[in-house]
Amino acid sequence: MAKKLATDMQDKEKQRQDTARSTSMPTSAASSTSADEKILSVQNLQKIYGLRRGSQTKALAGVSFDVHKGEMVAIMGPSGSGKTTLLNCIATIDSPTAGEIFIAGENVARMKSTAVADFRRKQLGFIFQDANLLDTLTCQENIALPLCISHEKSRDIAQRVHDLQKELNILDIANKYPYQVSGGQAQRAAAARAISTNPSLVLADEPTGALDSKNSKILLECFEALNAIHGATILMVTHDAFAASFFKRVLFIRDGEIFSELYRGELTRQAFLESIMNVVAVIGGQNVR
Amino acid sequence: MYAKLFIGNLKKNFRDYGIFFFTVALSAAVFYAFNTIGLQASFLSESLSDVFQLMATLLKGLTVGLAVILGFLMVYANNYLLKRRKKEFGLYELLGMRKTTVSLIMMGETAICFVMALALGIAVGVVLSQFLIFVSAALFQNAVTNFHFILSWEALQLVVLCFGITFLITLLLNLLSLRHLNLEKLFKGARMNEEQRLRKGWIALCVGVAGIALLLFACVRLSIQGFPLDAVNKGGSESLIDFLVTTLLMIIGVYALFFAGPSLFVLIATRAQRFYYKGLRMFTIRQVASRITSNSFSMGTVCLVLFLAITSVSTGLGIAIGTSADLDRTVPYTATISGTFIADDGAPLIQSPAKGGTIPDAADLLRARGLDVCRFNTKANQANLFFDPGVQEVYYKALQSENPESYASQIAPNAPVLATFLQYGSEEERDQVMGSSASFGITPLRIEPLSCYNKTCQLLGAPTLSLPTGRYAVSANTGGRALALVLERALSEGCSINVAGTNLAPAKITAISDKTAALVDMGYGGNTTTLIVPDDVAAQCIPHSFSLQMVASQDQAKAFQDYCQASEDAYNQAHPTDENIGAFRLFGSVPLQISLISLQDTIIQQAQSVTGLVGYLAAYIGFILVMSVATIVAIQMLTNVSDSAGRYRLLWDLGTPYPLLKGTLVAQILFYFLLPLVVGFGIAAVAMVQVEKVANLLMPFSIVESSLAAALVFLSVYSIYLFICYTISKGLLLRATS
Repeated sequence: MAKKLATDMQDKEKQRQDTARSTSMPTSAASSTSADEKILSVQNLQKIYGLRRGSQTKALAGVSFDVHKGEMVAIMGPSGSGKTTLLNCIATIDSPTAGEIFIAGENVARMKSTAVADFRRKQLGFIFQDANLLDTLTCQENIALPLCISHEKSRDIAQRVHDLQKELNILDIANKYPYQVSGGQAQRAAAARAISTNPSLVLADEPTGALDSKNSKILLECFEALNAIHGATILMVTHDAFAASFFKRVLFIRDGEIFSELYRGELTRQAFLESIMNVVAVIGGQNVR
Repeated sequence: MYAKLFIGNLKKNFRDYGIFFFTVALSAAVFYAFNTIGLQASFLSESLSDVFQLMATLLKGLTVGLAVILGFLMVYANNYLLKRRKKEFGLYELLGMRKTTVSLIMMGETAICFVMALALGIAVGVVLSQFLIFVSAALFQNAVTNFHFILSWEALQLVVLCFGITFLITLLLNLLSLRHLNLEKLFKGARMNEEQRLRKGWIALCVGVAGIALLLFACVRLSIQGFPLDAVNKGGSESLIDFLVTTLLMIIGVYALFFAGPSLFVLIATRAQRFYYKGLRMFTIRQVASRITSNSFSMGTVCLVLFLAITSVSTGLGIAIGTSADLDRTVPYTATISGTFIADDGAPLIQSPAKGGTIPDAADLLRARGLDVCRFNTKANQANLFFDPGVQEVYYKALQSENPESYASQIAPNAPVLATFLQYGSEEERDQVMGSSASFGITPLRIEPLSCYNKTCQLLGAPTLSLPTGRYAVSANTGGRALALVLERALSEGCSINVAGTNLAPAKITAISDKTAALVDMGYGGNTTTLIVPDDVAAQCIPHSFSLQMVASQDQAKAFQDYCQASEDAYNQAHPTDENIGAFRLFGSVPLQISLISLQDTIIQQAQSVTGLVGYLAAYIGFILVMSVATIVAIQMLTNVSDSAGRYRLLWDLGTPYPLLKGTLVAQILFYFLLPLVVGFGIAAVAMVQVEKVANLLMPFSIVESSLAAALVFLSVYSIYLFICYTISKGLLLRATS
């Protein structure tokens, strides 16, 4: 499965470069144009719980960062650091106390509740820790669900779902229910669901949290494939350094603030993993500055 | 502290307690109100007193039976609450609370809710019972006198006793359930997803199609075979077995339909992608299908109970309406006295007028006996009725024989007997009309002279009839629709009748069925078929019977009837043991026997009593049955919604607009409530057509009127539960998506 995906990725990357070469725009210019487009811009985000009661908890203390189109960004931090709160605010599931969040140019922090559902459906994709597929629908129907809610044509839905299932190698579980498939297969179905509507941003909350190492690797390679083939912009929250090492950029959050940031650049994954673990150790207090 | 816990929990779980609370309160209100019927008699006329006492006794017995059904219902409703709160109770145990204390908390909450619901129900019942007095008055066409507030301690005691026992049983079962609480399973349970309850493809196809086919086949079979009247009338078992087979096929069909029908629907829907991949349709379809399949047995039972309830209530209301609907037509005289001119062995006592026979004047005879039929300016008419001489002789020989059917061959083909008209009917119509009597076909038709009929018309203020020579007319005001159809067909086709050697053809193509067709006052009519012939033809026939018809003016009608009754009572007191058989009295050497007097008010009151009794019982039973099934359906639906809270949350997180979520909720609730109702109604419609055929043998029975009335009762109760279920579900949805 991993080999197949890697081969697919290579083929697609080669195709993309060939296409770029044949156009009038140079590859680097094309890359830089798409890379310049900001998909997510978080500006001085704050979230305080218990404002009306006596005791207040500052979950986010002014977080600011940007994510460009086609980026794969991981957010890491210990428990209670505010990473899930940050993700929930970006996902419009929770509302911030202060600050702005721009997704595809729209300020979601100030959006009216009636517009939020539409926005979430069109612009965001979600991958939860435990797949969170609807147990009353088959895997295929779960993938099709966002497209049905968006009133796409049934023929287009069927085609799109088939293509995604083929790409993520889950055609054989199409007519099975979530309780009939493995955790890894369910997560891949969840990933297919998240990407089905071509959202501007895919949000993943600890997607490998309930998986073993083998299935985690498969899932993360799927993320790489989705990024390479569909140009998906993925923002993942994780406490797993191994998972984070698959991403190009890692933000470290501690006590509600961005503590540090790492770019993979030309590093190998192993080397990037070591860098990440060093930072994790610092956040944990093992290396004193 | 525990009281604080009880009240806090009740407030927090108010919505969940809603169905249980409403069911207890509504049942208590209805039970109390209907059981005060015995007291209502004091507000209405004395003559209704016996009827109301009878109703009160019947309703009391029924209440106990229905309380058992309701008891199961309350246990079921309470179980739903317990399942919803098992985790909470498990948490108490986990925190170290003893099982006994947890049980006490649960008992306390249930008791408070129960007592509040019961108190509210009785309060509503007290108010309802005051209005019920006026409903009864309208039903019995009576006026309410000396109205004052009533409170029935007997009804109160009965309600408290029935509900108290039910409550104790509910508590006991809850305690047993708590005892078997498994903490491990309890806390794991929240994370476990529900396994999909749909049948496998081939099972869904085979069983689903078989279910639909069986149901349709049973309905067609019932339409063709009807009810087993043969078994009732002639004691045969073949038709009864057929009916039982039809019933069994219907029951199996219903259960098969609910067992596999939803899965079959999913199977078909998934293949129609254009339909299936729209909005939340696939989610709605799978949710409903899964829920119905999980509860297929109870849904099938709900459907059958609804069918029974609809059929019995429609029939009851139809009988109630039919009994009093036609009284203007069948009881038009202030009073009637009927008698015969034959001996006990059937031998005629008077010769035909053509042969010199003289018919005595019954009015003169009665006047001599102390009853002046023209008192209070009452007008009277004696309608004399004759039999064909040839038919009379054969008929009375047949009656004395052990094999009356064998005499049919001795009757001429166009003799004035019912069989002559029945030739024009289908076999089914003949069976319906012949009914219980094998010799009914050779029963002589009564022959009435035109002059007597026209005097009846003048008495009732109706236009008189003229008959050309060689013609006859037919009057009938009973026998149901089958006989009416047969007569109409016979008359349209020019059925020729030979009366005492004279061939007659029909003058009209329809039978006379208005008030002039009434020979005597009788609630269901008493005139099966009478031939109206020219006087000279009737004179050739044997005098058989007479009907003395009396009409008083409206303001004198009651006084005249009281006078007749007093005269009757005085005669009976003076002649305690009459030498005559039964109700007949001989007037010495005068060749006639006379029956008891029929009084208009008495007959109307009896008919209205039946109306009231049957109407109340039908409404009571129907109300409770519908409430029972609606409660079960509502609880199952609420269980589904609360179990699906996580799914709605997920849909919300995926960006589903709230109107779409509400839409799927409404669709699921409507489908779940309406499916058993529609299937039950469908089967009931087929059954009611057969009920109408049977009931029409006796009285005018309108399937439309009675079914509409029943539908009103059903839909009003069902709608209330649907609304409550929707309101609670919407709250659950809001909580899940907030």
